[in-house]
Amino acid sequence: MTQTTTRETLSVSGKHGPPLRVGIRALILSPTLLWILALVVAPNLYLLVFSFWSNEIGTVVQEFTFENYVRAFTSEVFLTLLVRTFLIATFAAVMATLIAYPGAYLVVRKLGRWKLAAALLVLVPLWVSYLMRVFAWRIILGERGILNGLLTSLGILGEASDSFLYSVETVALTLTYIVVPYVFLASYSSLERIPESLYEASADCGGNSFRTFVHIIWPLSRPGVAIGFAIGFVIAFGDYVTAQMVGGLEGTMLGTIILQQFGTANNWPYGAAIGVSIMLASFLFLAMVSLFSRTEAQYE
Amino acid sequence: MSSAIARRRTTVQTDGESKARLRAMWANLVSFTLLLGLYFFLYAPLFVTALFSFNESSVQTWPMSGLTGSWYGEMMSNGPLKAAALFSFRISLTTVAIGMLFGTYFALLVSRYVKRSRGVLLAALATPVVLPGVVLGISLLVVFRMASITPGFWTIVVGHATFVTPIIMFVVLTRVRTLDPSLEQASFDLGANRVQTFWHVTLPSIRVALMAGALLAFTVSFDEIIVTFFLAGVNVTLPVFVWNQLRFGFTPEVNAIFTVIGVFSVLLIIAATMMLTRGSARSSLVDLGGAT
Repeated sequence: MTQTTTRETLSVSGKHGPPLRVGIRALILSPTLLWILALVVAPNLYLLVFSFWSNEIGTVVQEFTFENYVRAFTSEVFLTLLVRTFLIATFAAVMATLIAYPGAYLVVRKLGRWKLAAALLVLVPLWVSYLMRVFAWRIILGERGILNGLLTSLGILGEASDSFLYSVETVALTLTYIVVPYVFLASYSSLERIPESLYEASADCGGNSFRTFVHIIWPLSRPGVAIGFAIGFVIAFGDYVTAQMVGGLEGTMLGTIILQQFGTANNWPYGAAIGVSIMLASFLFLAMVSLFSRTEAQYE
Repeated sequence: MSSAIARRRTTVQTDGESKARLRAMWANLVSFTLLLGLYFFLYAPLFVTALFSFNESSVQTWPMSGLTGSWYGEMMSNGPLKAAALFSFRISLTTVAIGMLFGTYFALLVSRYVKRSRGVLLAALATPVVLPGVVLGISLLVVFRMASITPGFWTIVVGHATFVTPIIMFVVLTRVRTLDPSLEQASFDLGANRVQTFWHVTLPSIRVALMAGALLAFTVSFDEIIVTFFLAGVNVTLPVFVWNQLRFGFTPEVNAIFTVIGVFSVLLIIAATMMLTRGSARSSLVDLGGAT
């Protein structure tokens, strides 16, 4: 009985060569399990354990306590940053979706055989240095930057404003810029898979392009968009480089506290507790997104 | 087929024809303007940085004061910078080697030897990719500390391998799924064992995807900063080095570094894309040629 279940779970079908002995099967599978155990399970488990330990003058006390979580969720700073980080990440993901999804739709519908090249062109910024994409906004929005230069030379601003950089809005804008290609990738691949015949069928039934979109294209591409939206949210939520580069004091995000706790403040357990909170918050968010984006629509 | 549709369309069209055509023209105009806006939004910041790498003044002011190539010269003579770049290369090459080995193994395992637990395995392996970067960074840091491993070259490599390997795995997996199983069956029928079949049949078929995945992984690893920052010891990678410079004051040569990295990564990606698209265009012939 056990014999058959192992065989089924590891199912070596005759299709791919002669059957293997159980020992060899285990040998083939074991590096994978080891990898998952060491690099996926152990880190997350230890992070969780760490978050329940405490810190005394820089050394970790290995005793179970809730004090990190109590401290975090009664701390004004933490709660403010949690809300702010959540709002910034949501804003960035929503804006990026509003930019990337219509963009992907237009690329798929209007560019014909150039659509693949056009889509790749949107993805190229992903592979240009991440820091460069953040830093560019400092050059553009800085007090002596391009935007100020343009506005003052056009006479719109009397003198250069220092309010473009180092604010919550700047962080939100920069993160939007960072995540647009990811949302585009997810939107594009879900839109691109919808066969041309569905558009034609809708047109034959008298649907104009608006109705075709609302009743056919949107329901079919919604799960893909949701994935893109969720990826964008998680990336923005776990980012601390952007906030440090263009956020200033006003634009600090949760990641920055983690950096402090693992750096100068040297309170790893508290940092771990905040890390676990970030992880749980993003999983909760992802679960909600997948719940709302479920679709009954099917094709093929 | 398409001409038949076109003919039908022309017969259907009536007096409203010119009006409809005008509306379609407007729609196209609006669409292309919107798309141009998207590309402008994506590329303007990149070109701004590249442009400012030639700025004569050491302050980032607009309008620029004059053109110079001196920041590139300064970049080339910056010792710590070159050390960081070399370190990054070693990190990324090692990571990609590990990623290619394990990525191929995972892809074949998942597609060949595992059936029921396939979804669980894939999800577990891909977890580091979807974790928020800061969480992945500190979770690995905590494990390394518990195992008393001092941060350095190998901690960064292992950290990068956790998210680079799944990337390679997914690229190879898409290729493996389109493989013709009869090739491997034929190999077994002719008496080859698993190792021989892998070496002479499977590997040549997935070679292109593997290389493309490796190039993609290299750029991801070379550019990574959020996880790397937590795992680096005394020696830092290029992005972390540049970030430290930016935090403690600014030198315009940073723009030059960005521009060089950007051009370099884009070239790698173009190579990877060309390999993938060309590989799929004449796949079966290449597979057979590689197998013999």
